[in-house]
Amino acid sequence: MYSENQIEIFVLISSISLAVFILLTVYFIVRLKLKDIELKKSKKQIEKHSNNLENLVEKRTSQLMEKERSYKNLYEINKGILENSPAGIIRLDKNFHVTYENPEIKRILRVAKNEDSNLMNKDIRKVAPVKNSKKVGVFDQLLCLEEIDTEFSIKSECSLTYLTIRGVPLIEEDEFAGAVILVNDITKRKKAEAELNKAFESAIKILSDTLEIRDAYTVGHQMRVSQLTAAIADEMDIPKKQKKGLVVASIIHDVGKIKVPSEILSKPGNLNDIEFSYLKEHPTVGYKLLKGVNFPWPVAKIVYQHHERLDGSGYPKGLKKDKIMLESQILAVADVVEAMSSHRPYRPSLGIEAAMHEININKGKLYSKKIVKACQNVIESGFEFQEVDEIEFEGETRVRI
Amino acid sequence: MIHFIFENKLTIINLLNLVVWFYYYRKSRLNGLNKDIVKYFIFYFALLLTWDIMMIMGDRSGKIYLFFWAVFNIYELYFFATVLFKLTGWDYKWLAVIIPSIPVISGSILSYHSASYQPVNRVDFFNSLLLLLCSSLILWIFFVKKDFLKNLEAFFIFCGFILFFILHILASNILFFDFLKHWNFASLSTLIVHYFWIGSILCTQRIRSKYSS
Repeated sequence: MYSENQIEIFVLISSISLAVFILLTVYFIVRLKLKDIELKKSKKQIEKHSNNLENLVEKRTSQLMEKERSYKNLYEINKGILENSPAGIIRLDKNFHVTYENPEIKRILRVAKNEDSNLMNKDIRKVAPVKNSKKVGVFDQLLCLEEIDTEFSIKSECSLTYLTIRGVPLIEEDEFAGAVILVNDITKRKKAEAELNKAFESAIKILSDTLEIRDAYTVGHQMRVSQLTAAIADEMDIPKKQKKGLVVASIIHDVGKIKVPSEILSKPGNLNDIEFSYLKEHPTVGYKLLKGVNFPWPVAKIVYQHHERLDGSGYPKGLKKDKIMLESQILAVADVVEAMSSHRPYRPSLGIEAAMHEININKGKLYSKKIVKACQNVIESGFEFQEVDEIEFEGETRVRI
Repeated sequence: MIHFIFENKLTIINLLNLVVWFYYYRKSRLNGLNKDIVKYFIFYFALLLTWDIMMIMGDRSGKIYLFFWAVFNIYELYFFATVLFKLTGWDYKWLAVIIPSIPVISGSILSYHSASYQPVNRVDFFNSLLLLLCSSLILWIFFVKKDFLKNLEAFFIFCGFILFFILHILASNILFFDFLKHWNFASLSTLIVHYFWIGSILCTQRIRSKYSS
C-alpha cells in the first residue's frame, strides 16, 4: 500500500513532531521554573528590604525614644532651673505676650506691687512700659533683634523696688520669634550701694574737713572748686565715670596742705622762697596720702598733677601738655578761677572777671584752650559758686557731703 | 542516496548533534559542572558516532557491536556516576562505575559466546532502569537544589536522557519478551531523543539570550 520510503518519511515526520512536542513541553517547564525562580528572588529581595525597613524603623524608633528620654531629662533639668532660679524669667512670643513665667517673677511682682499679679498672655509692653533714655520702649529694641539690658524701678505705696531687665531675642529664619526676659530684684544691692556711697562720702568729708580746720581761710575752697570742675566737665561732655573721679579729686585736691605749717597757710602777704617751697610740697604730700586709697578713679594722680602747667612751669614735676592728665588740667583751671575770685589772707577777692582774664591770657600757654573756653562758657552761662554742702556727684544721685 | 540517508539516519543525526553541541560548547561561556556535562555529552556523541562508523565499516559485525556496546555502556555509567557524585558530593564514583560494569561486560561476553543478543538486551533493560533512576535524581537536583539557570544545558541533556531511557525501557521490554520484529521502536526512540537534543540547543540559546540581561 505504502512504499518503504513513504513509511520512512512518515516515521521521520512523526518522530520529529514527537521530539518537538516533548521539547516544547520541557521548554515551557523550564520557562515556568525560571519565572518561579525570579518570583522567589523578588520575594527574597522584598523580604530582605522589608526586613531592612523593619530594622530601620526599629532602629529609628529606639533612637527617637532615646532622644525623647534625653529631651525629657533636659526638660526636667530646665524646669528645675527655671522654677528655682533666683532670677525672674519670662518667655515672650512674637507679639510680646507672656507664654511662661517662673515662680520668682511672681514673687518679685508680689513684693513690688504688694499684690499677686499674673502676666500670662498679657502684652509685656503694656504691663511694664519701661522706656530707655531716648524715651523708646525697651522691649521694642527686641524687634531689631537687639539684646536689652536696663534698670527700672516700681514704686508702690510703701516700697520702691529696683529691677534689672535683661532680654534676649529668639530668632527664627532671621525674624523675631519671641524673647526670654530675665528680671532681677536689685533693691538690696541698690541699698547696699547707697550705704557704701554714704561711707565713702563721709571719708571724703573727713579728709576735706581736716584741712579746713587747719586753714580757716580756705574753708569751702575745695567744695567750690569741685562745683566748677563739675560744671566744666558737663560742658566738655566728659564721661560720667571720669567726671566723678574729677569731682572727688577736686574735693580733696589740697589735702596735701595738711603738712604745710598753718602759719604759712594763713600768712598775710607774699610768701618767701622757703615758705613757697613748703607750699609746693602739697601735691606730692596729697599724692602720698591718697595713693594707698583704693579709689575706682585716679584721684591721687589728679591731685598730684593739679599744679602742673602746659608749658612745664608748674610743679612738682614740671610736666608738659599731654603728659598732664585732662582731669588735672580742668582742676588747675577751676582752682585758679576759684582762688582768684575768693578772699585770701594775703589779699581781698580779685573777682571773677580778673580770674577769667588771668586764664584767658594764659590759655594755650599755661592752660588748655579747650578747658578755658569751656570754663568761659560755664561762667557766661551764669555759673555761681554756692555756699552749699551738697554737690551733684553723679547723674541723678545727690550725695550729701 | 535517499536509501543511504534513511539507512544511516541515526549516524547522520549523531554527527549533526556532535557538530552542533561542539560548536555550542566552543561559542558559549559555560562553566563549572554544566561545562563538564556538555563536554562529557560531546564525548558521548563522539563515542556513539565511532560505534556507528565502526559498525558501517565492519559490515555490522556482532563482535564490534558487542565490544562498543560494552564500552558505550561503561562510559554511560561513568558519565552519570561522575555527574551524580559531583552533585551529591559522595566519594564512591569508581565503585559505582565498576559494580554495574560487571554485568555489562558479562552480558557482552555471554552474548558473544551464546551468539544471542538476549543477555545484552536484559542488561540493557536493567541498565536503562538504573540510568533512568540516576537521570531522574540528577534532574531533580538541578530542578530543585542547584542554580537552575546556570545548569540549563545540563538540564536539557538529562531531560533527553530520561526520555531516552523511558523509550528504551519500553523498547527493551518488548525485546525482553522476544518481540524482535519491533526492533524499529528502539531505533525510533533514539531518533526522537536526538531530535530533542538538537532542538535543546535552540531552546537554551533562546532562554539564555532572554535571561542574560
